Amino acid sequence: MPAQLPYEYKYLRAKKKFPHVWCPGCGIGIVMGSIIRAVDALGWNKNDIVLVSGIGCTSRMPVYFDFNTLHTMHGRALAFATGVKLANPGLKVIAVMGDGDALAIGGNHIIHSARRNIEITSIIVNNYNYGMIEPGFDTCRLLDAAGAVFVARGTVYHVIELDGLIRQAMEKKGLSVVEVMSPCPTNYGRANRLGGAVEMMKGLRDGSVNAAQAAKLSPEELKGRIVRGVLADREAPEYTELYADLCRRAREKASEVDE
Amino acid sequence: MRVPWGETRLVQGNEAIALGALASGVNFFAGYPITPSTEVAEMLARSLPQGDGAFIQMEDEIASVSAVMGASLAGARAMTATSGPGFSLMQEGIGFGCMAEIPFVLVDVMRAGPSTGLPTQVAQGDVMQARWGTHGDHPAIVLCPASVRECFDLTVRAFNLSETFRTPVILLSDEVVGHMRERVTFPKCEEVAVIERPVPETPTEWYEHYHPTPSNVSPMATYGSGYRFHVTGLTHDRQGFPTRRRDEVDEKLARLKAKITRRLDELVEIRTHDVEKSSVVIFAYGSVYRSALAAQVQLAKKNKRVGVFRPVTLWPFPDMETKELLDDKDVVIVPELNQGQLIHEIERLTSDSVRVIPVQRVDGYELTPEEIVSAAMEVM
Amino acid sequence: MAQNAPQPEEATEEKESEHEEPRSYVHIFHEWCKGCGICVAFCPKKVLEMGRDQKAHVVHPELCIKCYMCARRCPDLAVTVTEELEKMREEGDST
Repeated sequence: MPAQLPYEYKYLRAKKKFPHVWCPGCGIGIVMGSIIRAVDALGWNKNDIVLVSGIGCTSRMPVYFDFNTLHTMHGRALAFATGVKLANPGLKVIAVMGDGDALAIGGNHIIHSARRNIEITSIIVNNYNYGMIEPGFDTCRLLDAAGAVFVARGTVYHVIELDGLIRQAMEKKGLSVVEVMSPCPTNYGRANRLGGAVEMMKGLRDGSVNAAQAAKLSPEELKGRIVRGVLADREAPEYTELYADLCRRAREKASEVDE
Repeated sequence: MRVPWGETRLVQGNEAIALGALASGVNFFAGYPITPSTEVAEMLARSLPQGDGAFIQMEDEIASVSAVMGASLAGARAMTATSGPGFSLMQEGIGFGCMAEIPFVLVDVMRAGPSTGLPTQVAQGDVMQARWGTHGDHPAIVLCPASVRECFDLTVRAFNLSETFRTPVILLSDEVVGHMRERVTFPKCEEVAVIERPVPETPTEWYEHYHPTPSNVSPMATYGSGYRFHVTGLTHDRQGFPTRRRDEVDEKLARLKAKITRRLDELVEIRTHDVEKSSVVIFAYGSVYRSALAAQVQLAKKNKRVGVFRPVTLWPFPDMETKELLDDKDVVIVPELNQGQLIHEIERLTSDSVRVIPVQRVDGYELTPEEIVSAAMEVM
Repeated sequence: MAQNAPQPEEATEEKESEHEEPRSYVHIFHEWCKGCGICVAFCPKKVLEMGRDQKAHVVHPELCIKCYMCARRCPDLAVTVTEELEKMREEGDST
């Protein structure tokens, strides 16, 4: 068996019990593979990466990774991540959250993280479980408006595209968001009679369009469809850099006063 | 703003907390303004950038305590400051810090509650909350200053204890101590000990983030140092991985408790004045201690001898000292700016023969020496 | 799909009949496979099938075009495509 291990395995914690905790067909594991491939492509050092999560199925991810990992309280991943990043801006901070963790209880923190544009890669795995009963909002539009410099949406079906989006998000200086639509065959799928994992994956395949295609569709045609791709990508000052500049100016001023 | 080492200054209580933090090497503050604690944040907002430390105003208190813990895990000496309503919001975070064994200092400058209460006025209503505010069985270290100089000293001690015991430490002040001004002669730099968390020496592959040791405190690595460990609020094993195995759960929770209960001699601090020879003792803490000392003087002028017993460490409560020193007294007077919180500990620890008399005030004003004197006169 | 676990003899038989020939690029780590069926359903060349043991198996290794989609879409990281590995070995271990 050792001869057959793919390179992904070197990013996993050998001491942790596998197979992982998620249900058969759950998309979270696909996101995990995507993150590994992005980190590998970027050549990041495991010691520099801090993977933070809140509470929920997606938030069970960090423990499986051989990085610095932090599994916090429901909704608070980005608040912890902000402390980590500001205390040591040299660390590469990635937050993985579910839709409830990021957008319900964590809604306030993700809005302010976007507002600050602090360099944290925020991956939201959206399986709709938290929004099941009520109408949702457009995550990407909201976070774009809040100030996130990179906003993208992918699905676990379109995994090659997802690999690219996550990599771009990680490279981006500033608060980057990737919303990943994912199947939950056990809860959302079963409750809404969407079939098993395979049916739900087909649903992602058939029910989504990329941004270029979406631009050609009318609002009626777009209704109920997932729009994939990079939805916002711009430059703006990053928080820890702004803060470092503030420190420099404060020190200069203080030394002036001394003199 | 720098620490005026060895100098004498007129200083505000909250300002002294900020200075104590700086003296202790604080390099991270995340908080949200709230009366009557805001001065701590304001002063550190100015000082930290000058010293290459990080200051951030987070969107709320929950985010503040979370950011503080994230920073501590990344190696910072981190703190936050708040009052009642913010303290309530931080409870879940405090529990996380206890479970995950993350050092940080949390300052609560108490104001009158409950709820929004009297934002600019004094009370001592958070004493029980400081011990049991967060759910589950958890240790608590809570220090209570009664003077401006102690705001400085106990902040230094709070940081040292948090790093030594790998746990959050609460500095429980009150609006009077926080806002009063006193003349303080600061210690010299070399007189202030700064204790850092124990660092691991094991090879990285063998590192256990929660390794049992004789002191019950495991050396603590930092994110980015080469040790890659997992931190979670789920009950976990020595590696930090979630577990439901009964032996592992028991080991973790027992060690969390023993961290404190087996080292009381290092934690518990009291002050006593003339307790041994008095049959009537006033038990007071925080700003009320100052009134108690004044009451003692007034009573002496009336030829009435009383002792004063003050816990500096509110939690762990000085059980042994209370029992030893107060169990043979006729009367223990307990003035508190609440409807009776620490009084229950005294009642628990003293036999029925000791008469425990409450003197309580919750209208937002300081307990005066005269009120304490009058309670004493009734029994003497 | 059969609900019962296969008897030991049947399992060996199945394994032998579909044992990956040296030329099969796809390998499935059956300890981690949870039988979700995603790799089987979306393989463009129908290389894979669900076995009676509720796990994915390579049945037509010769049809594989090394698109890697099975490996990428496996939620359990239970599928590997070997050419990838050979390339990595050539380039040297970059750990």
